[in-house]
Amino acid sequence: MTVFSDKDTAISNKAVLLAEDDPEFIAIAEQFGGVAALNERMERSERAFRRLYREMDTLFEQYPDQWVAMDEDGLVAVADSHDNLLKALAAQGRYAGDLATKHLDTQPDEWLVL
Amino acid sequence: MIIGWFGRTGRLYVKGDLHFPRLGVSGALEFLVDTGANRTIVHPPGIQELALPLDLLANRREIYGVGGSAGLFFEPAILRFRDTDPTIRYTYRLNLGIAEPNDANRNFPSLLGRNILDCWYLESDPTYNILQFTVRRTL
Repeated sequence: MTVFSDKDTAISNKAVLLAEDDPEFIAIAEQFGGVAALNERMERSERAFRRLYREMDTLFEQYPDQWVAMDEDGLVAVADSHDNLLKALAAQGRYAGDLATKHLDTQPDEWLVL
Repeated sequence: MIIGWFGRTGRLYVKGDLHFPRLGVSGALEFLVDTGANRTIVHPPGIQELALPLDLLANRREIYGVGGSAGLFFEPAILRFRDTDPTIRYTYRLNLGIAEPNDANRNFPSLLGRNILDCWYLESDPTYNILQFTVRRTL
């Protein structure tokens, strides 16, 4: 998949919508186990995020200012920092990219981001 | 229709699945919906969660925004979203910005920018806890 070359000075900002049967997407999906496997992972992480938001009020009460990670079955790890959360997940052999993570920040910074 | 969520402070979030073919990295991330961002950007917490190899990133550019300038690496990626109908998924091919980590951005959420949002119809109704997106067009 080549969207730009190293010689580009203005990198394309287009987001191109691909069909699920687009050969380029199918080839990329094969690298990660195929379209069906990606879709299954997508469903699991979707359920994890839905659960996280469904239980958000309870999580804030129980774990204020902590970082949490959830899967579709419930809480996987709690830690006092993002680094420690990732260490706790690594110790369990879990990949954060398959989970829903959140900082339960009771006093969030005000920021502007670009 | 794609469903998003409101954070505790009212920030708008949506979940997307990212796949980086050159880096062999794949995983889900939560994005802050940012209609002020031109581009979609992964910030350091997302970089760590996906275990993106910073030493393999290239195509660095200096980008200017409200908070000043920041280094961004651009990486070809696939970004996917799931419809409320689980048989429908939206699969985008794009150059994703990956923010160079620094002290200022280390806790920033990843941003879903206008290169995606311009193609969506956004309904945001915090009073009734409704955040949903309808894909209107392709670019």
